[in-house]
Amino acid sequence: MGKCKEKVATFLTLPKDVVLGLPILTMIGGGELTLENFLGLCEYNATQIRVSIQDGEMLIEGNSLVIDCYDFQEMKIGGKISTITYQQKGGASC
Amino acid sequence: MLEKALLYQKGYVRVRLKGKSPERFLNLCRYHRLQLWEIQSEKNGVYSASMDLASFRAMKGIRKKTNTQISIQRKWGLPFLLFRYRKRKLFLFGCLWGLCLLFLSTEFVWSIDFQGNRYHTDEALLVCLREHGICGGMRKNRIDCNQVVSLLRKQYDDIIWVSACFQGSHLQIAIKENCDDIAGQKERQQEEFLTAPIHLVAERDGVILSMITASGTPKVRQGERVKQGQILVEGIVPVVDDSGAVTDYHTYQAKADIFAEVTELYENHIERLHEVKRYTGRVRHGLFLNGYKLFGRKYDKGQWEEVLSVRKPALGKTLPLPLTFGVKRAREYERVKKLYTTRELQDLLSEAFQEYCQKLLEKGVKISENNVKIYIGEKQGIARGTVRLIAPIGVEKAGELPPNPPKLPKE
Repeated sequence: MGKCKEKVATFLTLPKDVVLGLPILTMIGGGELTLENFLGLCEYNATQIRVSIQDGEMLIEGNSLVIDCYDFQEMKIGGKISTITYQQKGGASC
Repeated sequence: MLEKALLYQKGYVRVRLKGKSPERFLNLCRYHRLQLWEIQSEKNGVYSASMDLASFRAMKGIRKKTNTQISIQRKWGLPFLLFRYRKRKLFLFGCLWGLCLLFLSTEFVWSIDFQGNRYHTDEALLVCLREHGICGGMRKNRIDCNQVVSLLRKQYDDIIWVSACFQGSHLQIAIKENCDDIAGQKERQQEEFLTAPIHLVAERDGVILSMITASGTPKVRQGERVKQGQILVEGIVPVVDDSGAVTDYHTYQAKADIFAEVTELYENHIERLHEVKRYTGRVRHGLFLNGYKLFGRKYDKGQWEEVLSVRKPALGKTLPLPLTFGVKRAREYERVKKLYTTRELQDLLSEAFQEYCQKLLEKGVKISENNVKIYIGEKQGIARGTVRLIAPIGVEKAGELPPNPPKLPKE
């Protein structure tokens, strides 16, 4: 079903974040990251933030991580971001 | 900027969150559309975050559900400010009332200033405006600047340009006078009514040193000794024909620059016994507002020397306030009789003579010889003597028309 949706979205050039619920990351340099279309916060401390997304989890690692804004629509992370890891369901990382 | 202002108006707090599952707490806040920002992770699983007042009040249920302890670290915003000063409503009312009064006072004209007037004094112009219903203390919308301009132009012929405008609570009136014509108008006025000649007559005895005649007939020469009352320049010019006979007379106002050497008697005396003020040390202060005494003790019987300093406060340069503050300082004194010493008498008489010489110099009089001596007696000191001056001489005096000149027989 997910693959079918993806094919339809690609064929009709529909925005995938709306159709498939994929997360949108906007990064400015290495110090500011805006994340949209996420499900919730799994873990948060000064060195890593784990966020639950549509088909997996996203791990943001760094130093002095601060959540500048956290509301229903978006989350803005500030600080020194060193690694962003995308962990799909099943354990594969990209 | 606007966002910060709106946030301040709503009010927001900085809180510390402590619990077993703070992430669950944050997710529940997000689910219930409660906005948080500046979330920081501190040591030992403690988090700090900022949230607005409405969100803080709405998270009571979430706090209980997640068993999270919330402590407020700091509060900002208008709701907290109003609560802190809830017993100071009158102070706020007073501030607002003061602002209202200040705003209302700017609707009035509190001073009228003139610029560029040299011949007409400020007081004369103010009287003219007051006679036509324009004075300080009026509302601005009752004063028409165009009307002020046309009024001054009509009242004074020698004012050739007027501009009036409001600057704050000032009414600024700039004037341009026709200075060149003022003297000419006066001369023309005098010439129009000149039916009799005006001579220049010596007001004291002297010897003529220099003479430059502008109009009239000179009757004396350089080096001639003149007496008081003698005509120096006659205001009559005879009209002669080819044979030299006088056929008519033209009358003028005699004008000339005549300098003569005159001798003037100088005398000045000062008594040794004189009164001086001796201050007793008692001082009284008083404060006045718009001429009314606010506070100040009454004076006892005796003599008091008062000094009143008046200030007119203004907000900036263009907003004078309708207030006049005055501070009065009074010192009690008593009159005591003292005697001048000989040295003091000499100094006083010399000083007085120096002032006399200075005044002469300011009038353009030169001193060629000084024979003034000071005599000090038991009861008084006298400065007496003669002073030889080189001074202008000649005062105007109306004369009589000469009899009609004889008519020549027809040939």
